[in-house]
Formats: sequence, C-alpha cells, structure tokens
Amino acid sequence: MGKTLFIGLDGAVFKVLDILMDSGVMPGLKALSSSGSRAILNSTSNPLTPPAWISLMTGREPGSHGIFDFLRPEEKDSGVVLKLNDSKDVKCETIWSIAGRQGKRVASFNFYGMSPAAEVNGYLVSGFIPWKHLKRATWPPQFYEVMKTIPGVDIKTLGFHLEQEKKCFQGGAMPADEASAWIRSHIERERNWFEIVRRVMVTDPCDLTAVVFDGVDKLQHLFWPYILGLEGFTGTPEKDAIRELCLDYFRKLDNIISGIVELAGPGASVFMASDHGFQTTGEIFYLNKWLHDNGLLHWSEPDSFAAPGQLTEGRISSHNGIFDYGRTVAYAWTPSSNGIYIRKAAEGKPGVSESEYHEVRERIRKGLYEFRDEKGGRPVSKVLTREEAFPGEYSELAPDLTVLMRDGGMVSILNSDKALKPRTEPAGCHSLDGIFMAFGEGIKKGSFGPLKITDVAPALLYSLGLSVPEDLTGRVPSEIFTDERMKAAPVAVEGRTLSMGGQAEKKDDGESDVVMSQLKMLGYIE
Amino acid sequence: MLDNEKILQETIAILSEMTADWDTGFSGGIGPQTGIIADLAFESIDVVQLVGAIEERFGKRGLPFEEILIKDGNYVDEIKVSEIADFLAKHLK
Repeated sequence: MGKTLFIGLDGAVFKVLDILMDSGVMPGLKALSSSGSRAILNSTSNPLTPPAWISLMTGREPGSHGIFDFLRPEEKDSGVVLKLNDSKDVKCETIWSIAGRQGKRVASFNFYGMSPAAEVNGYLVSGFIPWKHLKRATWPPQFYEVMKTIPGVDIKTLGFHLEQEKKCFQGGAMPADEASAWIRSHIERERNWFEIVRRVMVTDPCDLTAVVFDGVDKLQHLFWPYILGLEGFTGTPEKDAIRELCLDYFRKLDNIISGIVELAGPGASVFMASDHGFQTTGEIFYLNKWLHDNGLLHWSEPDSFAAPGQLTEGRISSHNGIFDYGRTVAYAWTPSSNGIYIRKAAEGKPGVSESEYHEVRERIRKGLYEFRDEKGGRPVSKVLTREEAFPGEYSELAPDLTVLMRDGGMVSILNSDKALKPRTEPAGCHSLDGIFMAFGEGIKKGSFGPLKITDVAPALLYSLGLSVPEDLTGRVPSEIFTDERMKAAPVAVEGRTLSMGGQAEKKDDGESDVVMSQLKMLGYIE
Repeated sequence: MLDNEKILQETIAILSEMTADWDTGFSGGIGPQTGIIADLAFESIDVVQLVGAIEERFGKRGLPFEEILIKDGNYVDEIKVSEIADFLAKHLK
C-alpha cells in the first residue's frame, strides 16, 4: 500500500475550480483529477472553517467535537466574556492521533485549531496561528528550528496575520495597491508551506501527509467577483490587474499541487477536500438590529452605525461595548457563527428563565422567518436550533439559534438604520457545497453523489489500511475506491476513538472559574 | 513547592523562549522590571499565547489572570514581569 496524501483547499468550490481547470489556469489539477473521483462535500450546518476543518479531522460533528466558531462567548456574573478556541477545546480524537497510535506516521500542516501542538507520530504544524507563536504550534518542538533553516522559507510568512485576515470579515473594497500586496502575500505563504511539506516528504516521508492551503478562502472572500470575472469587475487596467493576480495565485497553487503529488510518487492515493464552498452574497442582514427592533437587544450607543459593508468591530475586545448587557436578552456575537445566543436569566441579570426558553426561542425563529425584504422576499432561509444544527454531547456550547441566509451571507453584528441592506458590491461568502476529489492508487474514476465532511477522516484511515473507529460519524465512501481495492481490503469498523481525544481536557465543575478567567483575558484579542 | 525566585526564573525563561525570534528591539535581558508590552512588544494575541504557555509550563489551567490584566474594568496598558511572577506565586502555592 502506497502513501496517502491529503491536500486541503480552504473554501474551494467546483464552480470556481472547474472554470480555472477548463480555462487553462489549473492544468495540473485538471490532469490529475480527470483520472479520479469527485463529489460535492457537504460541510457542517454552519459552513465555517473551525467547525468544518475539525469535523474533517475528527470524522465527528461539531456537537461532538465542541468547536462552532473561532471564538466563543460565555455568560458569567461579571458579563459576557470571550474564549479563543484552540486544540485543547477539541473534544474528539483527530486522525493524526488515531493513525499515529496505530503505528502510522503522519505529517499535518496548516490545519486550523491544532495549536498548541499535541504530540503526534510524525510532524504537526498548526495553521491559523501568528508566526510569533508557531513554536508552540509545532511538533516535534525542534522541527520549528528545522523549518527556519529550509531554503526559501521565511517563518514569518507562515503565520496568520490578524490585521490582514480580518479584512475578510470587515467588508468593503480594498485599494488596488493594498489588494496587490495582499494577494501576493498569500501566494508567498502557500509557497512557504509547500517548502515545508517538500522537506518532510523528501527527507522523512510519512504514511499520511496532509496540508491545507487557505489562500483560496481569503481571495474568494475579497475578490470573488474578480475571480469569476463578473460584469463590472473587468475592463479597466486596475480591475484586470487584480483579476490577473488572483489567477496567478491559482496558477501557483496548481504548480504546488502538482509538485506535492509528484513527491508522493505513483503509488500514492491522493485526496483533496475543502471545508466549505463559496457563493455570491449581495446583501447584509443586521441581525442585532433585528433583535433590537424586536425588543431583545439594546445598544450601548444607539446612534452608532456600521460603515457600508462592515460586519463587525475592528477590535474583538470592543464587542463588549456594543450592547447594553443590562437590558439585552439575546445577541449575535460574531458574524462568522451567524448565531444568536439567548441569555439565561439570573439574579440582577436580564435573560430568559428555563420555563420561558423554548417559547422565546421559537418566537425568535418565527419572527426571523416572517421577516421580509422590500419586495416581500424572505432573506432568512433557515433558522436552526442548536439541537438541530449541532446535535451531540457539546451542543449546549453552540449558539441557541443558527441563522442561515438565502445567499449564505454572514450577518453583521453592528447597528444599522435598516435590518437588511444591499452590499455596495457583491462579495464571496461560504456555502455548504465544498469539494472532494481523489485520484491515484485504488481510486475509481467518476463523479459521485454528495459526501459529508465527516466522511473524509474514514476515507483517509481506510486508505492507510487502518480500521475505522465505530464512533466516527462519517463512513468510508466505498464507492470511490476500486472494486479490487475493496475486495483486497474490506472496510473494517472496530474499536473506538480515545475518550475525549488525545489532547482535549474535560472541564469539570471546578474548572468553571478557570474558563471564566481565560475568557476575560481574551478580551485582549484584536 | 515552588519558591518565588524559581517562579520568577521560570517566567523569564518562558518569555525568553517565546520572544527569541521576535524583532522587539529590546536589547536588555528580560528581568523583573521588563514590561511585556513596552519592552517586548506584546500584542493582545501574544498575551493570550503567553497565558497558555504559562499554564502549560506550570501544569495548571485557568489561572485568574484577569487579576493582573484588568484594572477597574479596563485592560491594563502594561504588565511587568515581576507582576506576573507575583501573581503566579500567589496562585501556584
């Protein structure tokens, strides 16, 4: 059995990839994928990086692994405090651990939420971490020093740049010169990750090598209409230059993909997936404005309105100042979660009593469904309770309601004169339909029905010749493997994942104060 | 039992390791009077990471760091290394 390779493309969608492959921008991917399988990969209920990538890595739903967003608000006596999710909050075992403890060596690079790095049988460098903290995000620790010595690698380019990344959520047009530098920085980051992957694949090849390239998501957030060549986004030197730079990003990415596949060798089984898809959003729903209009939320500064296209505050620590918590019963904390949190009543604190909870939640849901745009259309497509969206042991950590918009848009948490407004220009936003592709040894050729994001981990474990723990939610997509392979190695489902995962820590009652202080401190995050 | 001096030295060691590659422009060795914001150029996300590193090193999660990070409802502008060490001495014993 050959090596198994996984390449993650954050936010990739066939709508874009097919255009790029057919127009000659990504000839390498076209050639590789033409011999293999492809399917839509259905993301998590709220198609977002943290829940989706963690589901892909664990084969479990968010209600089981406990990650629903980048951040999590917690209600405490002193107010609402904030937590930044990290690897210790992931409550299910990852495939890095499952494969490693069965004797397979793994190399995992740039996956969300893996810092601080847990010990693995191989290598792990977490993604979405500022470069200054990559050391803590790296296993084995000495590999951090090795990375610095790799020719062509600048450790600073590997990290997550908060100031840059938050532009994806802030909305609004970016000046051309800034756009150019921003796109180039992502091209450079992917190249650096490729150099790290290459070093390991050449010097110490592992049974499973996996890497995520996240620039796809970032570019699509900000330059979606340019990438698609939508009307009004081509035809001037400035606009054509932005589009060309975006296409150049995908050309370089195509070279990287081809390079990694070549390094894996002819006997490798190659899998590719995204955490979610992408679509066009043309409007913004100001969810907290709607809650305010329905008497559930009060603003600290009622006359302070969002700038055009703005979804959130520049500083996350400023969120606490947005609402008048003394009079607020329900609120949305982040644009990314599209979630409404309903406060539980306590002495001296507004909220909803246990007996009122279901009635209030249903009233909010009904009201959102009844909300209409100026033409009588219904902007809110789905309102899911947390039991519906995220069933599982940790469902109670999820927003009470998840609001899905008709165009997939993230909500704004800021105030506005109207609850629904058109965007000044169309933008990219997440959709449920991610991508799955596989090719190489033992993979069938063809298009298949949709898979679930939780099916990827079982597929990778099967490819490695391992049994699949019975408590994984996903299944081995046997339809994509050749009959010969399935006959030679039938799927074995046995055993269970490690309780609470190798690195997660169960929070007992005595730890609640601890959590509170962590969250408070996280108000520092900008 | 950790004594105060040991806690201070461990704190300095954590900060030294964490900031080894940073371009802080700080030329002096890290000591009790070093300010992590003015001298070591800590940003908010760095404070979060520091707390995680400290908790890992001392094997205790969820120390009430807000005691030194928040004063009168506002986040402080500076934290001295000695303040961190004193805080740890108070909560680790």
